[in-house]
Amino acid sequence: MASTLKKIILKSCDGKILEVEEAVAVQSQMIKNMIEDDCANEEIPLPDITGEILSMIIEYCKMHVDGENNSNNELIARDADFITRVDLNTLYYLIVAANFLNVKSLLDLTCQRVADIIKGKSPEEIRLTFNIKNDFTPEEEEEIRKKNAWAFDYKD
Amino acid sequence: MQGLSKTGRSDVPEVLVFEILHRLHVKSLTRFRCVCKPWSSSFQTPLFITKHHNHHLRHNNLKLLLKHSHGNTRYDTHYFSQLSTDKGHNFSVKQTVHLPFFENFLSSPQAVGPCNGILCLNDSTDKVALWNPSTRGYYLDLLDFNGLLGALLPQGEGTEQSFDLWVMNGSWTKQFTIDSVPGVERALGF
Repeated sequence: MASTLKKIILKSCDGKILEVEEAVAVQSQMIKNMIEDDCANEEIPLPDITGEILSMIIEYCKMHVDGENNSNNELIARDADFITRVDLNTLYYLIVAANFLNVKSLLDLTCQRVADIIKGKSPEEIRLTFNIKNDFTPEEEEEIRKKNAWAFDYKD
Repeated sequence: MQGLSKTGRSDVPEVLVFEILHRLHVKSLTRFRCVCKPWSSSFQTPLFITKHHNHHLRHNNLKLLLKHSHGNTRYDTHYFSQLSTDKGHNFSVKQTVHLPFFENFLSSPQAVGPCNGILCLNDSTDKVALWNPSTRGYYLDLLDFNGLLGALLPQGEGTEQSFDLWVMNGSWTKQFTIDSVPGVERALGF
């Protein structure tokens, strides 16, 4: 019983220290591996993750540990509630952090959310969203648009 | 990969950008081929296509495809409807997919399949094609190779083309390459 109460100490890049229950922390495969390798006895520095993002990830992991006995539908509803509160810019930080910490379900959730946000956008909007430079000549772009006119019908 | 990083945003690495993109439906991806050249070519790599296909299989994001015709006479146009299986959409028509070239033919083409999302269409005039209703791509130059379905895929441009012969024998396998013959535009078959 004592082991479940063990705390893991995480330190964000802006110096915030967070104490997390082991059961919550092992939602991160990376931290789980560290614990198994006996490397998690001191504070774990996370150089690319801010305190704000780290708190959100811990909130998410806690929600999943607490909701272990809930039905699948309930978890999906909670996930949806969690993710719709997050703006696009924060989503990018969450994706990078979820990938680094290897929280597979959160990576799935965040990537799917971005996909849902961008799916109906135009190529121009996508370039703005992702800050991408258009390297097609106008003729080349027109050619692709012409050949795939059906995909530019935004009705559905 | 360019993008995501230059306006003080989080720097999302290329591999994670594609983690997002392979979740999109073909229609969005086809439109996003206009975004930039690296995206356009990446979407057509076997790696991306396989990842995309597996993701949508795993998540049951499959659209039921129905064959339709307007009215009942043999002069009517034929088309397909993709039905949405998304929760709450209750099999409503998601989009209408028109046949690439059989549409105004006298009789309705037979559709065999699908196999890995590809349908085989043929009509009474022996016109045969492989057709991917999701991308609207189709392939016409099919031939018989020792009783198996074969396809010649041109490599290179213009009259300098060589051809790869692929044969369907459980799965598509490349048999051999026919070197370019000067002045030859396309191979017709055996």
